[in-house]
Amino acid sequence: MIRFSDICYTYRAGDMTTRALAGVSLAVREGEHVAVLGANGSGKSTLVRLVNGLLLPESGSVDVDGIDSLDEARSLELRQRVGVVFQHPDDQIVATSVEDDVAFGPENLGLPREEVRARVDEAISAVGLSGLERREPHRLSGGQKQRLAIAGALAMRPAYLVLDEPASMLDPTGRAEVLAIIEQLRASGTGVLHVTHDLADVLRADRAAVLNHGELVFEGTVNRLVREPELLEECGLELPALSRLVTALQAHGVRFQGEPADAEELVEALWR
Amino acid sequence: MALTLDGVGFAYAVPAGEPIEALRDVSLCVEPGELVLVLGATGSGKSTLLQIAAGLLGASSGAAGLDGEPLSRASARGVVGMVFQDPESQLFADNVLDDVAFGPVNLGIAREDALRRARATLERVGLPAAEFASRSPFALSGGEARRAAIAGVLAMSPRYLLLDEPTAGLDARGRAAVADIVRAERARCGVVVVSHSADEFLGEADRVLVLHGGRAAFEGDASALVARPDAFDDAGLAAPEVLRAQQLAVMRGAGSSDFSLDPEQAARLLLGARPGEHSRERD
Repeated sequence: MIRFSDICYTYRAGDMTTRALAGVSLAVREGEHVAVLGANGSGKSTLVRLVNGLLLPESGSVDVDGIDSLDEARSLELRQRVGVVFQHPDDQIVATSVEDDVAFGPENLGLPREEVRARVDEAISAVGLSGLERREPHRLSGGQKQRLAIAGALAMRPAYLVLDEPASMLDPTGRAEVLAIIEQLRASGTGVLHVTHDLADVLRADRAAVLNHGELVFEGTVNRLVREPELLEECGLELPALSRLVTALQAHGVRFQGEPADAEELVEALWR
Repeated sequence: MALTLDGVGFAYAVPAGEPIEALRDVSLCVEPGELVLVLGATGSGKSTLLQIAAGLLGASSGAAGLDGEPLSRASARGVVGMVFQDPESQLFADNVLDDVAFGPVNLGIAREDALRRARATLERVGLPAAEFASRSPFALSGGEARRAAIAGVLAMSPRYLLLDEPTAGLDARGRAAVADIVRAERARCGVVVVSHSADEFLGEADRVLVLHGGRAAFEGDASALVARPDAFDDAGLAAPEVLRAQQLAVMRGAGSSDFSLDPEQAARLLLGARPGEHSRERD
């Protein structure tokens, strides 16, 4: 389990201080898909940087399967358990071919060549890039690049994957590709912490947490969150158009089990 | 008065190879007061189209006109304002006011006058000069930086305003602020917004051009596009989910195909298309 316990974090630059997180507690179990939502400046990216020790909490603790992020002796172990993927895939791609890029992490672990090969093949296949192993990363589409960044993280066989706005810079095709991969990861037992400002990207999450000015102001099902328009507005989050349609249908007496995540699911539920 | 592209084509030269055709026979017209939305997937030619409309690229074929005269880099200067993708990456000055005044100064406007314009423009984009003028552009939030960059173009008082993916990567507040600017500027100039997403401006656009593979896959009123959501699929785009739900419902059942972006009207259409509803009506 990833467990953030009563985390506080403040950025300091000279005399300026900015409180980014104020007493945030949150847990992600293995195999669970948890969405962390918040507007710019809500503290959500700080949370991402705390999860594998890129930042260390000012107070409170981050614990991943019993490893405290302050425990320097175990920091490599921590980083193997938690993969992190950021918003801009270009910032995370290091090699000149798809397979070399995915191999970068496992090779750095000093694994035997066959083990590296097996992990690379497995990760490339998991993100649907098989056949593009020799492709130069700069010739991939935006969605393919982000899938490559995810493959690079998966090759480390993490128990958890933390994604910071993985779809926000992509066009609709790329976004759909990346969201589908995240769905598959959950099915394969990887815990997912998906950080975003776009509620439409995480309608399938098991749980949602909302940060506003560094405080956790909501934790519960996505289904409940989309029925809280005032809270969303206050936190600078947009209610997905589809959820507005669901609300309108509910007002006409339609009952849904769970929140439809796309038009297909909505129509399927209506016809049931 | 209008900015017009009439059957324009464009081919990129490739060293020792066949030129790559990015656009073929595409037309666009925007008058002051109008909002035209250009939708297209990555590689559809929409950014090329915008650069031709801005006078930055010359069309390989067809004609481009500006208020009845041929459109050129020189005639577009100060008349057609272009906001590129991620425009905040081009902020460069020591403070926000100088950055916004750069365009007008460059057009030959006296510095005092340019600064006055820059201050007024900052107010218009919701960045009050008293608070933001002396700030470093690099200390702004993502949404503020985007608005400052847009202000730099608006300060040149263009008659036509072209924006390439103006809301990309912004959160809900940032997107709303940019949408407000677009709405307000439409009263002053003709606006063309290029996007891969129909979620933001489809409801208020006068006309829509959908590009696919460099050609016009759809052109017409926004309402005509709402009535035919399959045009999105044909162009490799995602129709807004609310439209797609109605499209799927009509494919499954009967019911009206009077599609709407409004959730309440969409809900009525969906309910009317359900099989149970019809048998109940017949009873």
